[in-house]
Amino acid sequence: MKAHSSVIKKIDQTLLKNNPVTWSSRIHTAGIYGLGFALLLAIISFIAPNDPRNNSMIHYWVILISTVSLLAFIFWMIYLLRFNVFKRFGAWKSTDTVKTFIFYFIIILIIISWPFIPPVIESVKANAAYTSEELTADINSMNVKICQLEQDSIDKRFRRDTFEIDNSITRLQRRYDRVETYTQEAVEAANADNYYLIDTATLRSRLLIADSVKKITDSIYVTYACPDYKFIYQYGLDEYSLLKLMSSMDLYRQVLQYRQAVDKAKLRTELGQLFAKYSPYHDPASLASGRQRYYDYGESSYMSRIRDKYDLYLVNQQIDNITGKKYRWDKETIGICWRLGYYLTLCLAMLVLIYRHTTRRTFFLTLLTSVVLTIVTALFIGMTPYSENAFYIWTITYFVLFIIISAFILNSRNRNLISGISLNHLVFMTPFMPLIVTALYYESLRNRYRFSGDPEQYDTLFKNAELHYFVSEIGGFVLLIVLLTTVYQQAYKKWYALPEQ
Amino acid sequence: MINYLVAEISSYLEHQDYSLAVRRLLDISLDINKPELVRKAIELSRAYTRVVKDKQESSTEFINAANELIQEISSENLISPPSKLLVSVEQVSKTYTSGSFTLSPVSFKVSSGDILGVVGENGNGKTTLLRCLSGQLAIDTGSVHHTQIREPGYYAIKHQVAFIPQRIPRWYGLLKDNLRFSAAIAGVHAGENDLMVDFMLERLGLGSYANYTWNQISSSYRTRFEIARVLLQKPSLLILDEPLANLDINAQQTILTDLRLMAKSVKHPMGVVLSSQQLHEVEKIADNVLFIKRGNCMFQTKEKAEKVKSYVLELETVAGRDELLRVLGDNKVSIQFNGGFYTITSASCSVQEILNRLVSSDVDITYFRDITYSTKRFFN
Repeated sequence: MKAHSSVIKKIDQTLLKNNPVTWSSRIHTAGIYGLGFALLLAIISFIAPNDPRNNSMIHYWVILISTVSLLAFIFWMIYLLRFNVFKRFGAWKSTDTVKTFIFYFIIILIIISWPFIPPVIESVKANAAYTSEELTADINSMNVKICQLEQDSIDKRFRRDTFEIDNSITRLQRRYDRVETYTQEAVEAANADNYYLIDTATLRSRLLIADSVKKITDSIYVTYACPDYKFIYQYGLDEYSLLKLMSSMDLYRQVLQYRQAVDKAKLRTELGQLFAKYSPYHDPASLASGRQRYYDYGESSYMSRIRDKYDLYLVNQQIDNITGKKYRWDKETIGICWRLGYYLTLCLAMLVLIYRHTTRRTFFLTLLTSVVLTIVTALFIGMTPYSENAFYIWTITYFVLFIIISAFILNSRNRNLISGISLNHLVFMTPFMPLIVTALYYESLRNRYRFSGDPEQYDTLFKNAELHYFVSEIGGFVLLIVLLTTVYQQAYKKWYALPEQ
Repeated sequence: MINYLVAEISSYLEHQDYSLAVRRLLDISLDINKPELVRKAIELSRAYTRVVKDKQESSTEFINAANELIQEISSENLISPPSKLLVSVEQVSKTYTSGSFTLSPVSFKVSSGDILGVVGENGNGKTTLLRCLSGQLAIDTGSVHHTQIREPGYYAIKHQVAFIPQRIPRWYGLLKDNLRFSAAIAGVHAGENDLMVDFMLERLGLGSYANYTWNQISSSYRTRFEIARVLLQKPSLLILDEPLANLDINAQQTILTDLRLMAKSVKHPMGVVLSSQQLHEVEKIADNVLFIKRGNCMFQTKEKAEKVKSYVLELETVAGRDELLRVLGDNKVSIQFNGGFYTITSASCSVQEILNRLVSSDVDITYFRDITYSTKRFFN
């Protein structure tokens, strides 16, 4: 510990004497302690008992660590701002401001990343404990065994639906899938459970999901839907597993289509072991856990009866817990978490940067102005017919206005509060402007083609929208970095050095 | 020049003015611009601190070290650079938008090595003038021309002109770290940073307080710290607003002497502008004193010293006004009493003559000061 402290002290003194910009950002202490805490948190999360089958308690961890992050941020801020008094008039390089900003960004990113560590470690542990293939194989095995044990009592009657093609149904109706028109006479004639009038396109989609199809005439089809035999099921598991989850039809064909002679005692033992693997409270002998049950298929249905009999609710729930932890980080969640972390970090880093480059009074008046402008803009938008465009246009207008006011700094003879506030706003808005412009462009397109009635053209226009939004986000950050190096640092230096009135 | 300086320091040592001798040795070591000499001077200063701490009257070891250093210095060469005009202030005026105070047009010049004292009563415009001069406050009319700053703009001015306000801004962390930071942002890195910070700590008597925080040092040491901090940034013009406030008489004397010596530095001469209420102390070290009253510049000693028409004496005595008038009556003197002491003004009789007359008349004198050339005359 003493050696560690001595190393940090040595780094501290070296930076202080040779690189005061880096030293004043406290990256060496905040970075080392921040990463150290992250490592400690990861180790604790690994060591802490956490059975992947149990309900996740991770939200408590996230709340706790978020509080620690907030306290760490405040602590860093206090420490950072203490060395704010002498930094103004030195031999600063043009890259110093951007270097400082990047250091702030990294430190805040480290602090903000802490609450994400326990959920990530929980996912890692769940992935290490159960592979996707293992889960798929076990679910299939359990379903097969249940079907084998219950083959005599399970309902095997397929649902039958009769469809008659009627292309007089309008495009709009088809688009919103409002095509079913019940005709009692036709049902009776076809001896079917249900009878529908349907257009050709919809029929095509119905045929794709049907387990079996019988063509009556060129325009009348009967589809057959296998009853549900997925007593244990995990929606979406197929996406992650090399094995395929057996469908009800697969189970029907393998087990139920023809009666099989089975060793029930052996099956019960094997099933009991599988249940015990996922649900430790199950008694392998009785195949039940004795927990309170609930019904989601209707109390008298065979599904409820069998789930009740083997207490499959608990098994399903515990497998659900495992998959919830394993597959928490899907593309969408990662996108949301990354953006949350990125924008929070960006905004905080910019606020710290602005605070350190302006007077305290100007900084707090900038915050106040932001609030006032938000209220005024909301009132204006509220009083006009709603449109996203209005928000984007207002934002761009403010940005242009702030550029014009900030430009007065070039010829100003004294330090003006309004130009300082404008410069602060200008800096803060910069990384968001490419995104705002892109959003305005796509919103305008959306408005223009919303009622054009040509979905293909609509889809073509928005084909690259996601990419463009992403490029705008990256471009905003790059723009900020470029302007900080070239324009904003000079503007802040000039503004701050001007005499007061 | 070096022979004169060596003789001066030897004299200090001989008469046991060790503190002054050490400070001069530090200054000259820096002027010679040899790091090993500066290191030796720093070590000598530390040795002197130990002597003082141990309450020894003198230490042979210390004196020998000092003499060795003097010997080394005597073989070096020092050439004093010519004085350069630093700032030219022409008819500068300022009126606050809120409030009724106005600083009437004032003009003066400050060259490197010069000390300009700005005196006047409270609220008469001293701080306003100093802030205008340092670029902290926008001026209404006139011009402040910093002749040695090539790059135009206030950033360059504020980088070159150091302003120490009366109320020193609080700093955090250790005193030494703050000094290192100031030196580093001025471009003084690595070993040079260590050397210069150690030098400043010793030069301003802060060595024992290097690892102290703001709360652990007195206001006198905060002032010294602030001077050390700005000097590390090598300003060409140093402006101090009431640096003597809250200092005891010894500390005032030390600070003023140090300012005088540092302004005249051979390596880095600078101009010093300071405001103060301590008229006599400021007048003693200043090359020019500016007296400001109600926003008007009433008097500049440099320009108007020759134009003085009468002699003025400040006197404290147990004798009454009648007795004084009796003794000095035939010399057309005017005598004013402010409750504490008398101010005697005469157009024909010099201060020396007045004093002779009083002494020969057996008037008891407990205090006197010739203020003929002092701005003190204008305080009433």
